[in-house]
Amino acid sequence: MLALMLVFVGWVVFELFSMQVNEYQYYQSKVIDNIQQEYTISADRGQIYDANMTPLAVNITTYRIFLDPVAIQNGSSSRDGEETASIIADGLAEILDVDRDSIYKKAMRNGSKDETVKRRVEESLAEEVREFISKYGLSRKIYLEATPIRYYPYGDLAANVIGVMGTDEGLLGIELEYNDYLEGTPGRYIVTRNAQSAEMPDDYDYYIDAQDGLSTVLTIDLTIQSMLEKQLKDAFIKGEASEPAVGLVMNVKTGAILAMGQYPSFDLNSPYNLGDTLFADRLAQSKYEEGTPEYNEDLWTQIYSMWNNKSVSYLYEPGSTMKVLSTAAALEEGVVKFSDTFSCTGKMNVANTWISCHNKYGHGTKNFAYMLQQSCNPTMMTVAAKLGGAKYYRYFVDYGYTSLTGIDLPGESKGLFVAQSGFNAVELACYSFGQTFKTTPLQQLTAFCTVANGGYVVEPYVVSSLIDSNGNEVITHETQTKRKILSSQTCSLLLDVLEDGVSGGGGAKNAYVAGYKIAAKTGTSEKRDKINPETGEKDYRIGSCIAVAPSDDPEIAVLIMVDEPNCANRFGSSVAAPYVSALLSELLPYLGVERNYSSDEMKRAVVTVGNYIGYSVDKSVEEIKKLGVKYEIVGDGKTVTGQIPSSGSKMTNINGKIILYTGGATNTKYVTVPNMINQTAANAIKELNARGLNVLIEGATNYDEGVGAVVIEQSHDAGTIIQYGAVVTINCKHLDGTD
Amino acid sequence: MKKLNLFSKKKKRTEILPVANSGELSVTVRPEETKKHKKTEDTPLNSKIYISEHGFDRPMLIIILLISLFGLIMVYSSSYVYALTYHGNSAYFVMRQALFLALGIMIMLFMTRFGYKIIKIFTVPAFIAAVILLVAVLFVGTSEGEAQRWIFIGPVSFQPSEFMKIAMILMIARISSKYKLIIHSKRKFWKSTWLGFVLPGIIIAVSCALVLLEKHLSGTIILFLIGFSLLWTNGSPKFWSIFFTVVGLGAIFFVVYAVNQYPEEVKELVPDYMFVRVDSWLHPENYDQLGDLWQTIQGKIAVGSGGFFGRGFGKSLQKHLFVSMPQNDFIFAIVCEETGFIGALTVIGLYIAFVVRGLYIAKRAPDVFCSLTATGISVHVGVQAFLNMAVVIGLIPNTGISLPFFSAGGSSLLLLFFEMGLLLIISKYSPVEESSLNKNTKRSERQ
Repeated sequence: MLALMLVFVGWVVFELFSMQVNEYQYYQSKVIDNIQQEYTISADRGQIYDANMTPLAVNITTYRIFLDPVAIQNGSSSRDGEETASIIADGLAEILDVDRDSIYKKAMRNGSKDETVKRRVEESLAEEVREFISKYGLSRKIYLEATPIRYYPYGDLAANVIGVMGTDEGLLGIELEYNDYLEGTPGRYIVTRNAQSAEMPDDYDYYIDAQDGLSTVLTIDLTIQSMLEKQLKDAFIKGEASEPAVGLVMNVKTGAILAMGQYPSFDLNSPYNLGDTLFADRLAQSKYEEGTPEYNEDLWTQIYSMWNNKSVSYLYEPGSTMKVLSTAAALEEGVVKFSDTFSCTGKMNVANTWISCHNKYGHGTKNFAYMLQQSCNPTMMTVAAKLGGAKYYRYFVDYGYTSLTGIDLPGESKGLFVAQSGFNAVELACYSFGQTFKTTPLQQLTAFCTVANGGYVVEPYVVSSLIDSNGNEVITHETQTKRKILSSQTCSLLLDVLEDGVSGGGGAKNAYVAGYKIAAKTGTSEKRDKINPETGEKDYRIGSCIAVAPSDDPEIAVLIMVDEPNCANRFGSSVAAPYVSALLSELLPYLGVERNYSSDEMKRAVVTVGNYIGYSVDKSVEEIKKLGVKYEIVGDGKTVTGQIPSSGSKMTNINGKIILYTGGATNTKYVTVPNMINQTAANAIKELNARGLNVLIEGATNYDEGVGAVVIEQSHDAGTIIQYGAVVTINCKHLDGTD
Repeated sequence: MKKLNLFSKKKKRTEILPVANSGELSVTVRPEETKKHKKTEDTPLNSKIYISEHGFDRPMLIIILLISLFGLIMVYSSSYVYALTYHGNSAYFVMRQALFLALGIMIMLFMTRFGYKIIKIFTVPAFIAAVILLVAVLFVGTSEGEAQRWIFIGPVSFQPSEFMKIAMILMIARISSKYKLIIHSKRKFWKSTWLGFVLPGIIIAVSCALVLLEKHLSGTIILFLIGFSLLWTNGSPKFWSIFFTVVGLGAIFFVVYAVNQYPEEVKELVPDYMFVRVDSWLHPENYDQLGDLWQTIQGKIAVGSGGFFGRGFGKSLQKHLFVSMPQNDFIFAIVCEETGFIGALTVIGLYIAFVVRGLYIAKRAPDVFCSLTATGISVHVGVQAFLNMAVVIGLIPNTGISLPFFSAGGSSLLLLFFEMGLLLIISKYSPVEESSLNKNTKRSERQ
């Protein structure tokens, strides 16, 4: 018996030894599993600010409102379950704008403990829900769950640049590129908890504080961005484009991107919603049944195309805007002067290949400056041939076409181009006017900046600094000047010629803005790799315009590119240049660039009509004279009692006339508005003046340059009867502008 | 000289007592030499022996006190969090335990004032009382879990099965001593078998059956093991003990094998609670880890994570409600966690010392009744202690066995000290061989 007992004791000791000594590590880890609970302390994601510290991306708390049907159906002392459910359904339906019956159904669902009524409920509504809960004593029946989300106060503004947030990291744009800085470092809190999750008084706890993310300050200026996006929308709609239009505004000296946009874009607060954009149309056209894998695949394709930041990732053939850069190289190398004459017959043979000019009748024999302003292809090819392939290719590389710009945005595409070994005469000829190679809009504008800033290749950027939560700058962007490849003389000479073309009869005269010196070049390129399904031909175009202002001391460069315009005139001069002009006319005053009207421009300056009612006639006349417009007095009082146009109206002072009514006299004369569409601007103005109407000219205010601008829009339809002296706005455009 | 005299309470009281006429200071002839021996009082088997009375066994007392003190500290340490969480007072259990321990020690020491013969008087009434209580508990008892084993008398609750352990020990001892000559007779095999094996066996069977009716499996097993150990030692033919040991071990292996191989069939045959006990031990993965097995799993984690040296007193992590009610049956797990393998060995060593010393007391007990009683008590503590440890480290199924002197408990602690009191009473007496009588006397005189 003793022996049996000893065997048993020996067994116990042996087992104890193997557990406590041999398997100690295993059991120890089990204990640690038991007692340790790790909590993550989330770090606040950094915000995104525009150049003026306006927040573009912030973190806000939203609420998920959900019900506890079991608790609801149990009712309370004063109400039974059904009554409670119907009170909740009524109340929440009103506050949250959710269908009442669906709430009621959720509240009466059997055995459920959590039925979501609405997600992403804002604080103000959540507060109303809280009041509702306390008013009817519905706590433990209705719950609010706080969830932090990223909120973009400006919705779709600069959406493709700012980017999209996934569950906890950026998927696009700044949110992706600067994710590591923005997200910060989450802290950890390890506590020891007993089996009932109460804290244990032990030394196993430790706490590492979260480090909040850095905020990014963009170079993008909200005001400029909205100016740009407004013009992009116009350009897209009026150009009847079938691909998003792209626009960029860049500081030529630093490379800072002041605005970068495209239209149509998307709402950052609902980035997966295709809205009513062309992407939604495409998805609808594919005719997949909703919910099928094909549908979902196509949906994602459309979402990704919508998100795509075309400025940095879309490759296009830049077209004639390239001629500026080819010219700069040729001038720098001294192979050509603007006074040299060239002949154009409408086409040219290069190495047994006929390459045509956009003007098939030819530009005749003119000097190089004129040929550049008119964007003559054969001239450009001739100049490039003079420069030679090797030198041209060196400039091509130096401008940066063979590498990335290095902008701090994700998804930048590298251009498509031939290697130097394959750079033959035909390639040289085509490259000189911007065809057969591809680059991004950003790269094209960056190259253009080289001409604008006196020859320096700069690195574009969108984040000027990273700041911590106290506003201290942690990292500041320094301007990266990569190299100087052009002399300042070459640049200023070139800009003068371009400016001359804009204010004179050049192809880019639609980019003209009265009072400012603007150097611009338009471009129209063929999309040689896409067949138009309607015509069966490769006849899609890209119209673009790049402008530099002010041309005598350039500060900014602007690019607007309209992809696949389907309107009648698809040249860059028509689909892009007018919007560059409109953008600059807002942007330059905003940047504080002083307007200097020439004497000609003074004659057709835009004036704002003052308020004369209540003032003496003499004083009013004095004021009106200052505006440089005429006046007419109706009635014989001493004091003005009425005026046309009304105070605050804008009108072009050319032949303008303000009618003052005195002594209670009122207007009795009415005039019919004539049809002016497709008439020259000059004619239209003459007709309006003849009827005693005032005119406000928009668009090509240099309407009498070249062949003359044409009215494309009038504010009052033909046949409308309006008051004598009223202002009729006409929108003019040079239609002769070609490439 | 005084230091050497550990065994006697008062050196001058070391006396040679006559066996037959207790109380008188004279040496008499052994009564079994007379014809009346069957009806006379119990005596040691060796007829040439005299009984000496001396102080109770000090080493035993020291062992008991050491185990109790260790136990008390561990009750405090292990119950600290549980008491704080559920009773709002971290000393809730240790205060009660200390109180009962003090009371128990007082009872034990008080008992040593009595002579060993008084024990015998209570034997039959105690057994009858135990049987009555065990029957009563079936009707008026309160249950804890699925077993109905607690009985309340006023504010005091106790388990009649605990009481049955000592009652049964005494009863078997009584029968075995009464017929000791026949039982020890080598020639009367069947008579010896009848009086020494079958008759006590019936007592064991009755006791076990009554406890089993409460669905108190562990109590039944312990009762059986105590009883069986007395059958080994009461002089009845060893053949039967060995035979039934082999059969018993075989049966255990068979049950384990059967549950393992034919669970469905076994399930049909035995009560559910028995099957689940064994099956959940064999196949813990089939059972709800948060339910009954939680305790076993968490206990093993506590034991293993103690390592060689332990976390140190009071530093158990598993007592933070992972091991539920750690002051009860699983207190050894916390002992292992806090004091490590070293501490566990210490505890094991203390129990071994207890059993060895207990069996030593049994061996030199004044008569067969005392010897078997001492054996039963020692085996009771030893068996219960090692079965408890085996449960805690997962060697055998979890059946609710408490660790004597360690596990918190009131009435059971008092009963335990009552048993210790009996043990100490017995330890006061030892037989002295006639031949050594003079030497012993001389020695005591020298002292």
